[in-house]
Parts: sequence; structure tokens; C-alpha cells
Amino acid sequence: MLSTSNILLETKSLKKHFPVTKGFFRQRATGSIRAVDGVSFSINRGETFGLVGESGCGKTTTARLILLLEQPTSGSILFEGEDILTLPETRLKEYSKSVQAVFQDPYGSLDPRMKVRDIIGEPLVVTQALPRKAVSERVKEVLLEVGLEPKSINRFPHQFSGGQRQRIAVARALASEPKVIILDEPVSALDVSIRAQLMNLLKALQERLGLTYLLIAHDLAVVKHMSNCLGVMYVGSLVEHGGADEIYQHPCHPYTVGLLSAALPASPDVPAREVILSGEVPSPINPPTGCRFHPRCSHTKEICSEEEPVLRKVAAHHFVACHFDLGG
Amino acid sequence: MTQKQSQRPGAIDSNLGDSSTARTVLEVNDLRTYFFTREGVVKAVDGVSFFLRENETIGLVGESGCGKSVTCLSILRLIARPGRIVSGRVLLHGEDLLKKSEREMAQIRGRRITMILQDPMTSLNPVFTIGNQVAEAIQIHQKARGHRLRERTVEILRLVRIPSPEMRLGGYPHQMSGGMRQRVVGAAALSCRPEVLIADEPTTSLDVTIQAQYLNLLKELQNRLHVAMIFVTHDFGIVAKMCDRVAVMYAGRIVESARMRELFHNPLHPYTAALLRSLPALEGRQEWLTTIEGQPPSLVNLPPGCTFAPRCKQGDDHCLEEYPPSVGVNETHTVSCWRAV
Repeated sequence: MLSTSNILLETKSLKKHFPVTKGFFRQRATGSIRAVDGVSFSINRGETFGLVGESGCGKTTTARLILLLEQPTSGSILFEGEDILTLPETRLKEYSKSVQAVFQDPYGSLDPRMKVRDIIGEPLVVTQALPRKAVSERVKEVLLEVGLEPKSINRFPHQFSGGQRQRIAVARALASEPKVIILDEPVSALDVSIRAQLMNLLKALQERLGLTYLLIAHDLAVVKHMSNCLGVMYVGSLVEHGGADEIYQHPCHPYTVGLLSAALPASPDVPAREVILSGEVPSPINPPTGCRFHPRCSHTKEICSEEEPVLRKVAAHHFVACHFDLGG
Repeated sequence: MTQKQSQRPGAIDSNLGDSSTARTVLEVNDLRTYFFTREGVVKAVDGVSFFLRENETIGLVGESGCGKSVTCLSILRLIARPGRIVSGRVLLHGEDLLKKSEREMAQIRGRRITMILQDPMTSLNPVFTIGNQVAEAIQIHQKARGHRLRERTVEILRLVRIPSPEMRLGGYPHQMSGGMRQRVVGAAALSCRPEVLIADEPTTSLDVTIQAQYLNLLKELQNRLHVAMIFVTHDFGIVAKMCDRVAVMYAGRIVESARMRELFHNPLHPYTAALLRSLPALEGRQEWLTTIEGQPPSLVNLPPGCTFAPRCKQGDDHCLEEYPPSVGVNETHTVSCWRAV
């Protein structure tokens, strides 16, 4: 079962189209929202892959597909070399045990009527059918792991602050000893002074437990700090991916350049890279032809509106989907 | 040494260019706004003082619940029960707004002091057209009607770069994108050429590339209209881009205020310093971030000492007993910390 390659999770031309329907009694499809439209990337064991992009670009849908919360329209998801979409039902439990998630809003993701014991213990009861005593032992263990006191096991979510709630969400993800944790905007709902605590916790856990992360965030500084690899999404597809430092230093896609220059450095001395993108993100129902970025791009030529660029290699670990060589 | 900068608004500063001689537009003095709840008195704003000159932007920075927004609402006297402005003065060109009648205040809100709120979807009314909502302020405060009103509205929409404003007048908020909606809110706020514009986290709900567009637009409009701006934010990136001076708030008080560059280079309050160190940088790579342990205190029944003392690494017993006075380090830099006294 163990593959020799270092790749733990891989997606291959993953697509998810949602139908757009019209009519109230007799619904008929009039088009489709191409939320995720051919996304391929791979994550190495023990590394963090950061997925960035503006709202509506399909980051979260990609995460939901990997978590099997949505059925993909086409494409495949490989986990340890096996296509999980073709796995029999019995093996899926094993997969869902190994892939867990932490969501953005710790106020929405924890059931207010459940005690911490039940919130964190639920995945154990569902996937492993452990006896009650073993469950509470494990819950106490992971609570310690995330820096909460084991005695808070009988408290309710409202008795915790936002940062502590997010720790509970992390503990729940850790409970079933996963290999991959999908972090969907894990710090954006937290206060500035609490964010650093949680980012350090996530990094420490990764180091200690050898976890692999898929990090989704819109704050580029956060993604940069956490990730080894980076993927930039625009209207459903990856426009650039590669090593995080490489992309920050030599962004090649004009959208990445614009996105990086829009990120405001928290210091007055870092010269701001002034490339302000004009226009707005197009709708995924009717995306522009050819390169999806061409209406906002300053380098646009005829070919951009006619032909969709494919990802090509520009450096050892650096791929970009653009017709031109704009490497900076 | 210990006198507050706010009492010497005329201080000349060579590096500030022409705005150093600019007049003080707004002065807030020892403002206290408390909320009288069943659980106790919540001191949301507890002795806040700052001033604002013409054409200048001051950043109010702090975490959620530190009193940034309540400070702004208090300036406009928009505090509802059980909240009350307990004491202090808010001087707009020397006139105390807290002594004005409700009728006089209505002449000031939306005309001399205006506000942009965080979420444009809640600050715009979904059942009125864009034209209606922008025209309302012009109609009330400038007594324009009919043809002239329409012209003024189109003009102001063009100013905030709404494409084909004549067509957009009849549109509704839901037909626009988030960035465009926030520009409409900006148009309504600037339509009467206010003296003070309060922007309360105006870009939090926008995407990064749209945020960059919006911030540039605000900066450009400020240069053209010479409006003084209070910019509420928790993002130090925005502070570095937009603000001339910064006031850092913690638990209802301003703990440090300084010119923007000075604050970044020489933060004197342990909270400011720790906050700046806890941010991940875009340049370079760091392994671990410096954290501030613990959480902001509850504002009900605050202890007598420094509100940051329980989380402070440099604090001692004295810090827990008495709140430190505001100390002027130089002309423009003040800090409330016993270590600086």
C-alpha cells in the first residue's frame, strides 16, 4: 500500500461544475458554474501546500472535493498513489480518517450544544468504534497537544475565546491521527495577537507529528510563512505553482505579480511593488475565453483571448500558465 | 514631559511638509464612553485623546473589542443605550460636538463628518437605487433638486470611478460587486465635501486586489478634497500605506501614538512592539513568530493597573497597581507605559 514516492496527495485535472438552474417547478439547467476547472497539484509528505486566490476562485471547493464533501465532475484524487474516487466504501473510512480539516470560523464549526469531549471524540467514535474510556483518554491527549487543559473536556464551546475554539477545532482534526490536515483560512477569523499563537502551534504540530498541510488563505504573508509550495488560483484554475520562495521572488504570471503587489507589507520601508490590477474577478459562469486573466492583463495580445495557456515549466519547481515569458 | 501632545496641536514638525502648519480639524479630549450593562459597566472607551489636522490621516489600530469603532461612533454621537458618553470633549474646529443639540448634530453628520463602514451590503439599503442613496445626502445638505441634483450625483459617482454613472443611477446595490458597492458608499460619504472622513475598516470585506484599488482611490480623493481621515484598521500593512500618524488602542485606551514611520521603527509600548513582531513578513523567511500570550481582557471590571500588564513580559508589580500616565517621548510620540516614565 505504501508507495515509494514522496507525494502523499495529488489531484489530476480535478473539475467541479455546479449546474445553474432556471424555473421553479420544472428546473432546467441553463449553464454551469465552473468552480474548479482542471486543477492538478501534488503535496509532498510533511510539507505545506498553500493555495491562494481571491474569493470565488475555487479554493474552498477544491478542499471540499479532497474531503469528499463534493463529488467531482471529473478528474482524480490520488492519496498514497491510490485513486480514492474508485475505492470501495469499506476503504473510504480509512481515507476519511487520514484526511481531516480545520475551517475558518471557529464559531460556526463547533456545535454549541456539544461538550468538548463529544466534539473532539466524535471522529473517533465514527471511524474507530473505540470504547468510551479510550476516547476520553485520546481527547485529553490531543487537548494537551494543542495547549489546552485536559480538564476543559466537559466545557462547552461558548466558554472559550476565539483562539481557544480554533485550538479545539485543531484538536478535533488531530484526534484520529490524520496524515493530511486541510486548513481552510485557519487564522483569518482570529485577532492579530492570537494569529501568531495558532500559526506557531500548527507549525510545531507539523514538525512533531509529521503532518502534511493543505493551507487555504487569502493573506499572502500567512501563506508565505507557512508553506513550502504555493499554488495561485484564478477563476477555477491554477495559473502558477511551485516553491513558495521561488514564486515570491520571481512571480511569472501577471496575476501573481498583481496579487503580490496588492499584499501590503507591514512596514513602511519595504518598497511597495506598484502593479495595481484594474477590473474585477470575472464570473465563473461565463469565464473569458482563452486565458481567463486576459481582460485584466496589461500584457494581453491576440493569442490570449483565443487559446487557453497550459501550465509549463519555467524552473525546476515552478510552473506557470501564460503564453509569454514575463518572469521577473 | 508628561503633558499630552493633543494639548499642543500647533507643534511644528519639519518632516511633515505643508501639513505641519495645517489647522487642527478635530480634537478628541479624554473621551469616555461606557456601556451600562447588567453584568457591569463596560468601559469601551476610557480616556481617549487625539487630534487630527487638515489633509492628514490618523490610523486607529487595535484588536476587536478595543474600542476603535466606539470611539468613531462617539465622535458622531451615535451611541445607543445602554451606552453613554460619560465625559470628554470632541472639538470640530473648536466647537464641542458633545454640547450640540440633536438638531445641530444632524447638520454635522453626513455633511461635515462622514463615515464609511466595513460592510457595504449592510450600509446600503437594498430596496433603494444607487442614485437615490447617493443623492439623499446631497439633497439634504446642499438643498439641490431636480436636474442639478442628478448632475451632482453623476459627478460624484464619476469621482469614485463608477463606470457609466448615468446608467448606474437606476441600479440597485445587489447588481454591483463588493468593490463597486464600497465605492458607492465612498461617493455618498464624500458628496458633501466633509472636513472629516471616518473609515471604519472599509476594505475588510474586499479582496486583496480590490482593496489595493480602493485604498489608492481613497488616497487620491483625500489629496484632491483635502479631507482629514480617521482610518480604523487592524492591518499594519494598511497603516503603512495610508496613515501619517498612528494611535494604537488596547482595552479602551490609546497606549501609544506616534508618526507612522516612528511607530514602526521605534515602538515603545510592549504591546505595539510585540504586535509588530508577531506579524509574518512578506520578505525573507522566519521559522517561528513571536507571540503575545493570553488574550485581551474583558472590559467589565478592569483591574486598576495597566490593562496590558497580565500579558506583558516586562511588567512588574507596579504595573498591576496603577495605570501609567501618557508620556511624551518627543514632539509627536506619546506612550502609556511605566517603563517609559
